Amino acid sequence: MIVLGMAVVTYLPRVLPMLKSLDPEFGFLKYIPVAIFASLVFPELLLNEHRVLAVDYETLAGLVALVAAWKSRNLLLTMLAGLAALYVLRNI
Amino acid sequence: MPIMVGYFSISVAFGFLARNVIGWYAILMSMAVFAGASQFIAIQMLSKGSSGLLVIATTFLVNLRHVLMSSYLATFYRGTNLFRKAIVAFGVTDETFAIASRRFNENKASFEYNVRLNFLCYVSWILGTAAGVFAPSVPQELVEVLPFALVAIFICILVMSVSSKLDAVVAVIAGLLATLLSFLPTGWNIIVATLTACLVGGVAERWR
Repeated sequence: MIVLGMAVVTYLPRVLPMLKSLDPEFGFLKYIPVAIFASLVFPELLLNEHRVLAVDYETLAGLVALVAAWKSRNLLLTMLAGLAALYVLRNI
Repeated sequence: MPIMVGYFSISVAFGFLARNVIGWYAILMSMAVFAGASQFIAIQMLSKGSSGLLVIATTFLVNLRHVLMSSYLATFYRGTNLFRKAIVAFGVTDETFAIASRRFNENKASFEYNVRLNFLCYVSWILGTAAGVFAPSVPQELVEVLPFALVAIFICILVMSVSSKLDAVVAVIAGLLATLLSFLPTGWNIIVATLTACLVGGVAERWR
């Protein structure tokens, strides 16, 4: 039941905007990708579990991933660099 | 390709973490929901005994951000029939959206391209979940870093999406706002920060 409920509430936001056409004048829509990914990433890196601004292992691994992304522009390489950095940091 | 490897490895982590909480229902969840962040959140909430209704409500909030993504993609699907839109909409995720929107901006995407992309990611997601559910146990410290794969992927997508100074400004505003608003229930900070930063970008653009 929970899975079914989750499926419905996940599908609705995905499908409704498709069915109802939107005014093309919404020029600011083009900033949506940049804004969403920034707002997903920043809190992960800047906050620790106690919701305090903090430089922690995730922040450092995030910087490694940032450099990797910049240099490689490759998702897989960036992912591996980030994971490797976090693994090393946590286990030394 | 990298995106599918990303999906697979993240869903292995998901299946692995979820099997202790809901067993093989994890696979069902991946088939029916197909939304990484909210599935991880759901597992955590269920493991702490949250009520189903609360899990569903949180899922809704977390996934409300897809309204923005589907709205954007819909601008490329004017004149496409409802059935096709309904199919392509099921596969809208952060990652498929990032790739599809970039390709559409370069005029290199189509309905067929988008459905193929979504479907491949969907299959990777389900197979990875199954692999995670049935996998032998692995070192705990390895499992613990796997969710960070998601963040690293988002970072790369962000870097690749920034193509002007204004993009960068919008990103910083959205990111800082989402961080400052993180006291809000999960998901709301992302929606508020995204909409605000987009409006700022849109206004700044007209100023020049």
